[in-house]
Amino acid sequence: MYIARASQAIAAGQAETIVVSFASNQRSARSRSLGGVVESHTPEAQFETPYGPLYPLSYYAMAAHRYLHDYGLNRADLAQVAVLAREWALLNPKAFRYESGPLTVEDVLSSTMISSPLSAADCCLVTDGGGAVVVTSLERARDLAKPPIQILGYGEATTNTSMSQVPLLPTGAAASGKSAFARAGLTPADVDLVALYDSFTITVLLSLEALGFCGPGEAAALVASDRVRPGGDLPLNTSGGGLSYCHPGQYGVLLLVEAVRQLRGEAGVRQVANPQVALAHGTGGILSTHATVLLGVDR
Amino acid sequence: MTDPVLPIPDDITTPWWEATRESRLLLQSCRQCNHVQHYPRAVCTACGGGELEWIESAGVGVVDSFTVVHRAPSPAFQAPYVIARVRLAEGPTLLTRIVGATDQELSCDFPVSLAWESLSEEFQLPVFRITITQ
Repeated sequence: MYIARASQAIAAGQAETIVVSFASNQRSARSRSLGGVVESHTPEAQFETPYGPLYPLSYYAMAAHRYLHDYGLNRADLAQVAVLAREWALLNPKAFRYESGPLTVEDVLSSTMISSPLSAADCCLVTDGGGAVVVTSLERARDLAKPPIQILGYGEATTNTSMSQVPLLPTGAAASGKSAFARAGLTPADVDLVALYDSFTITVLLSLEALGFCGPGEAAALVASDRVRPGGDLPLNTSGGGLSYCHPGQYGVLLLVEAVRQLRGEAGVRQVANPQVALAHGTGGILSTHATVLLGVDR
Repeated sequence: MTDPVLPIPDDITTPWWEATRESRLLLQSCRQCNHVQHYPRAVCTACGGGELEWIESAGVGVVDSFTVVHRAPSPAFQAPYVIARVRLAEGPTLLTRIVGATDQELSCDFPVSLAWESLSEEFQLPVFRITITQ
C-alpha cells in the first residue's frame, strides 16, 4: 500500500524520494499477544468480541476450514506451505529458522493446536526485525550506485473489518492482483519470483489462487510441487517467509526487500536464476487488506 | 474491574441487546428493499434506506465455517471453545459459538439451531447447537 502511495506522490511531484520502513522488537519486548489487537471501536465489535475469537488468527482459521471443506483437502495440504518455507529458510543465513533443520508435514501436524485447523507451525513467527525500501523516480534511481528496480504495477483492496460480513472466500487479493497486473500490462505467466505474506499457511494458498497462479483448489498441489522449490520455475517465498525467516509484525516490507534482492542478484545461495519480474503480495487485517506490487529489472 | 468483553450497547443496538433477555434474536429488515441484515446499523447496507424494522430470527442456519480456539485471548475465556460463522435462514451471517460439539463432530454446512448463554446479569449471547435430525 505504501508503494502505491509513494509512487503516486513521486509521480505527482509531491515528493522526490520516499523511504518505506517498518521495524519492531516484538519478540524481545514480548509485546505480541495471541488475542491480537481487538479494534473495539468498530461498530461490529460488540457482536464479535464477546465470543472470544483470536484476532486475526480465528478468521484465517475459519477461512482455512472453509477452504479445506470446499476442495476436499486436509491439514497436510496446509502444512506443505510451512515445509516449503523452511526449505528456503535453510538457504538464508539471516533466517530465524536457519539452523533449525528441515520441517516435515508430520512436524506441522503434531504442533500445538492454536485455532483449528491452524497449529503453531501454521502460524508465522514472532521475531524482532525490520526493513526499508527507498522509492524515487526512475531518472534519479538510474544515477545511483545500485541498479534500480522498477515498480511495474500495484493494486490494493480492502474488503472488511467484521468477521461475519463478507464471504470467507475468495479474498480481496483477486481484485488487488488484477489491478496490479493490468497496470503493469503483465500476467501471472510473466512472473519469475513470488513473495507472498505467509501470515498463516492458508494465506499462501488463498493468495496463489486469487492472484491467478493456479485455479481454485489447486494451490496445495502447486505448493507441494518442485515448481516453487529451489531450482523451480516459480520460486515462492525465497527468504523463508514469515513462517521461517522473520516476522516482526508488518512483514510486507520484507517481501519487497527480498524481491529487490533477488532481482538485483544479491540473494546468495538462494539466488533465483536471472529473474526479471517479481510479485510481492501483502495481506493484513483479518484477511481483509491486500496490496500487490509487481517489480521488474530496469531495462 | 469491568470485563472487557461485555458489550456497550448504543442507540442503534440497544433494542437488539434488550431482546436477548427474552431469548429473542433480532435482525433488521429494510422496509424499502426487504434486505435483512445483522449486526444492527442505522441504514440498510443494500439500498441505503433508513427505515429498518426489527424482525425475529427463526433461529435456524448452517455453519459457514468454524474454528476451535485452544488458546483463549484473555482469562475471561475458557478454552477450548468453538467460534463459528453461522448463516441464518433469513440471509445474514453472524459470528457466534457452537456449543456442545467438538472439532471431530463439526463440519462446514452443518445445520444448527439457536441456543442462549448467559453473558452478564443484563444480557444473553446467542449461540448455536448442531441440529439433531431424525
